[in-house]
Amino acid sequence: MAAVFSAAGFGSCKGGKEQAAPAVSAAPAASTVPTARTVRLEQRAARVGEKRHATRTSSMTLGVEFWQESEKLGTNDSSRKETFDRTL
Amino acid sequence: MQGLVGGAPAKALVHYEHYRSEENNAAKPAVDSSVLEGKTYALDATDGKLQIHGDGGKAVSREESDALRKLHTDLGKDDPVVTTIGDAPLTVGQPLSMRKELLRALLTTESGELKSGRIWLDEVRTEAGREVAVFKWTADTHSQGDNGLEITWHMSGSAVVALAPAVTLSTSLTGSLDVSGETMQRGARVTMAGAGTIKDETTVSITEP
Repeated sequence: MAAVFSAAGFGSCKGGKEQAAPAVSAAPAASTVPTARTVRLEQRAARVGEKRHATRTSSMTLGVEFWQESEKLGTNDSSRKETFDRTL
Repeated sequence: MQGLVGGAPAKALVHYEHYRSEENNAAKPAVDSSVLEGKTYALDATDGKLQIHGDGGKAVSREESDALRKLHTDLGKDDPVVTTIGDAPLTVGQPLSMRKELLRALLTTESGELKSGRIWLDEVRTEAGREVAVFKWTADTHSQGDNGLEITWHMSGSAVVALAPAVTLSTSLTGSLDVSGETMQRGARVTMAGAGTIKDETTVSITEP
């Protein structure tokens, strides 16, 4: 977007020295446009004897309020956390 | 890793260098367990059902067995993220279809019915000498408990998948939970309201034999 504004301002500057300068395209030449990378997942069998080291940290919290006709009856807060570090 | 089913690890010795599980809920007894820590187990899912044996023939308690069955549901099965994404060509920036099977593969916990979501290949980069695809995603889900508690989950996360061989190396998610619902107590209607958080980080590193 900045390149478009820049090119528009450049063109409106009539009569100045800049007008004689060669036009600058806001878009790069087709050969320089980066092509989007395309890949695919290659599924292969695991290998007997390989080791997989895994770590995990997970947590969850939940707070619930109980209300009856604008009166707060109570709350129930709960939490759960699990961590491990294992080699398989 | 001692055995495969198809191409998936199915028989292995697992050693827990660290393990801790904590649960706090006013309505239930608190849980603070490190029952697996420092222990080694022989796991075998080659016939589709997980068999568990203690290292050196040691007995495995019910608590250990229950925890291991939750933690090793994937043994003997193909990588769920890789399988669900498939082997079609993927372009950086390209959106994929976020469907319930893919969300289930990305999550490690049940979070209800998928309402809306997006997933896309964000970048391809090299990590520890491997080319990896980095997927990013967002999802909103809804779950309803027996007691009338309704939870709307707003989650976002990422998955790093090695390209060849394709294997999920890490997943992460963060999310917020909105709680609502109505229940009856002693014949009177009670409204529930609240909030919560969810966070999960899992990493895997593979050493070739």
